[in-house]
Amino acid sequence: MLVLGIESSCDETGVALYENGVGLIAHVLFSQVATHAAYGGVVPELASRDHIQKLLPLIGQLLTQSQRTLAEIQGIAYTRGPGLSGALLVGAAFAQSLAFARKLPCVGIHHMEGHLLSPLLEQNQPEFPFLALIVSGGHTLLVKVQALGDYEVLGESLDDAAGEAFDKTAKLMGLAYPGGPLLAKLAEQGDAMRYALPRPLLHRADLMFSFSGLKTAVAQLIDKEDLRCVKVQADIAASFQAAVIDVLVAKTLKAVKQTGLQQVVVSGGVSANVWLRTQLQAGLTQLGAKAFYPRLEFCTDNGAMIAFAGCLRLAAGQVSEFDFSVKPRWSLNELRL
Amino acid sequence: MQLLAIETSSDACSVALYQQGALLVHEAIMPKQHSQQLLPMIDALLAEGQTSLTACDAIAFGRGPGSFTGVRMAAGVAQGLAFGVNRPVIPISTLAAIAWQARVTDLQTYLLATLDARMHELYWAVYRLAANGLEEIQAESLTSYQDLRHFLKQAPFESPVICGPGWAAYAPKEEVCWQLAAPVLPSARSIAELAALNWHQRIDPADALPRYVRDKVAVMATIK
Repeated sequence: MLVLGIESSCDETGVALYENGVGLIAHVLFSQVATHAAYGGVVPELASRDHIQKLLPLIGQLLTQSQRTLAEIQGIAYTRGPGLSGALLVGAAFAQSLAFARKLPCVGIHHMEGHLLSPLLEQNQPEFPFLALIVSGGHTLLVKVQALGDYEVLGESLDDAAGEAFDKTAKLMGLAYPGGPLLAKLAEQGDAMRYALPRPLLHRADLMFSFSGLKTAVAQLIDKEDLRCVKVQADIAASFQAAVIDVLVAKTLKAVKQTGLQQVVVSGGVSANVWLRTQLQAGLTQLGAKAFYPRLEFCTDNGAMIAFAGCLRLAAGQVSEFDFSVKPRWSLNELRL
Repeated sequence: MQLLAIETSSDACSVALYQQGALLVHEAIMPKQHSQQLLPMIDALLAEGQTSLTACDAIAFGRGPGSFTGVRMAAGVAQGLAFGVNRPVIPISTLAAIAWQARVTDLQTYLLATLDARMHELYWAVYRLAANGLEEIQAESLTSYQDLRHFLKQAPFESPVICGPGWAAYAPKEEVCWQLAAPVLPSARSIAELAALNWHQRIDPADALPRYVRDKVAVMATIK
């Protein structure tokens, strides 16, 4: 079954073709980062306006690139939530209408299911059951993945997502938007031991996260220190990054011990962070466990993961006909196959 | 000629099927239900017309102005349907649709179509009946009620028939000197009729985009 996947939950328009038995055929992505940079954050209305302009041209590009035709597509999948409602609605309305016109099965996919299954697009892939750490600008989740559609959220952030903390802290430090990756780059030259920042909820028995207090601690630090000094900037960045990563790694290792699961999928924009990968690797090796990552370009939002998750669900007989309502808030716990 | 028309720019949701001059219309007021009801409505409409989407020569949609989400939904559905059956799209102004609904037979009469744009502003445009439906006399605008009144005072035409729900939302109750049509919402009925009259305006589905009129929707961050 050849499945078209459409992702439009935030500030990237992604489309892809996946065929079961064959694999990923092609994928195309348009990132709106430049549009939102001038505003210092994602403007939902502008994101929606951009999605409706880019979606169909991207699908045209996808078909040309893969040398496939519309007539060959046998199923359609789109991101139904969570995300920005107006942005989600563009992909949902288009996908369901295209499916209606071509009389094809269609399914709405949970964006985080896309992320946590994305390492299954790679050669080196985990087998069910496994643990998933999803860290992005919008989410920080530890999930127990029993099988397709059987997920238990073990921990999540009570306030800011990890990537959001990176971006907000970068903004406090005067870095350009989106600052998270710039802050991580700056941290490479810094001394992570120079400033003692809190490790929120580190010693709590549960697997919850909290990152908003850390951002406040950095704000206080910035007031005291001279940010014009490059060394100070790098040391603050390194100290902040170490604090976030320490908590992410500690909670993930705790989850490995609690569940006994030896395979950990790491996905989402922050999963590209080098320090996170190094620290997690060290910790997991000690426990005899192993990490699985999607390729770098699939760490962030993309259509490939939606086409893939959609293909699995459609192959299992799931369809959502005619209804293109979206779910801006949607817990993974609610999912079934 | 067979056309399918979609209109979702307001709380009303309507679909119309134009078949060789005959018109079938399904409509309902359904705030926030459009995304669940629109495709089932189209399905029922096509069934009643004993036809299919592939038998349609084009898809028409109300391209705004109106609710941003609503007009984007109409554009997304029109794009999906049209791309799916390889047909062109005909975008129709929601203000023109309102004027068309309130049209009078006198060709010299001007029609002022209005919609409530919220934030103390109206979307409006002025039309006159013409061979291809409507002739646009004053392009779609976004202004306060006061600025619209100012425009009307200086306008080179006699007081127009005022239609659409925008005017009543801002005009003081004592304003009796105007000719008012019933404040109807845009309907797929008039979208279909105008599309049939503007057959030459069909475009590629990828170009079937909303026209928001209000383009300033965010404030740039101040660069420190």
